[in-house]
Amino acid sequence: MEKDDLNSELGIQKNPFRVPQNYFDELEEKIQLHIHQKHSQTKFIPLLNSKLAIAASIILMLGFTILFVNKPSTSTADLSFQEIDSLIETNSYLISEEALISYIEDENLDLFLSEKTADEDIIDYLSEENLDYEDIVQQSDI
Amino acid sequence: MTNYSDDELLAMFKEPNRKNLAFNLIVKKYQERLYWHIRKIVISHEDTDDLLQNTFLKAWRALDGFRADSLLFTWLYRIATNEALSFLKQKKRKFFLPIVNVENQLKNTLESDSYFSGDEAQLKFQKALLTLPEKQRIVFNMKYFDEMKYQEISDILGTSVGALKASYHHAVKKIKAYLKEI
Repeated sequence: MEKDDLNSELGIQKNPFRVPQNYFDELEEKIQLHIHQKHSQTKFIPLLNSKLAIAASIILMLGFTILFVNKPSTSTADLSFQEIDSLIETNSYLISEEALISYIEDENLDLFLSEKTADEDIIDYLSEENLDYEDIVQQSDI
Repeated sequence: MTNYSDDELLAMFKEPNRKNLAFNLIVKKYQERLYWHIRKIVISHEDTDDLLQNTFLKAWRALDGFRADSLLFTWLYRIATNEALSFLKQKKRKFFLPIVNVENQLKNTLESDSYFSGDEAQLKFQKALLTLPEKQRIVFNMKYFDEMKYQEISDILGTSVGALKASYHHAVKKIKAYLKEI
């Protein structure tokens, strides 16, 4: 009823799509090929039932261990002060305070009291940080 | 070649030395109907080709466990429908597209499809179909183009006959409204 209704308004609608020539003749062969490919691909050695499973897991574990133990780490030993500075600036959220302190201690760095640090710099620093002189004196006594 | 009944083909499939032959005959028997069913959902020939092959591959793998509580034809149609619907769902997810854009994409495919031989009116009609929600579009296609009975569609889609009738009725109304607008 509704179909007739639609057809009277729009004309009879037929399937407007086409397929490439010989598509349906070749499809059966294509599907068979697919089935046999998948079939041969899914033939696997049942590792879980053999000694190979144990061997494979040992190799995997060894592989991971070697990978993680020998993983080249980014060493800061060869970095210049400028490079360390820029690293701290850009990645400061990644470096913990403890790590920084222990690095400075390990490397025996005298960052704040080097000869190059002028008294003016210290005064500037204190005024910028708005530190109370009394507190500094008290802390240095401790 | 393809005059075997489904029961005969299924019995043949159970014989190890005739399994391949039986499956070839099943492909031959249903390939065209399934192709057109998928094609009307996903529009592009290339996508249809992939999905049809997947449909038959899944059928091959599952046919051993097929129980004759549904017809072979219904079962294959169901696999094909699910394949086509999940393809569209994947497409939406992959491109983070809302449904409107997938419809637009299908419209573009329709316009640029070298395997579309319809005239201007048919193109308009197909575009109108693409404005329908996917399930409604499938119901419309199965009823209008494939001339299937509501009960058959119900067996395939698992939707009640009443709901299918309502769905088809709404689809017709929407198509008419769309065609009047343009």
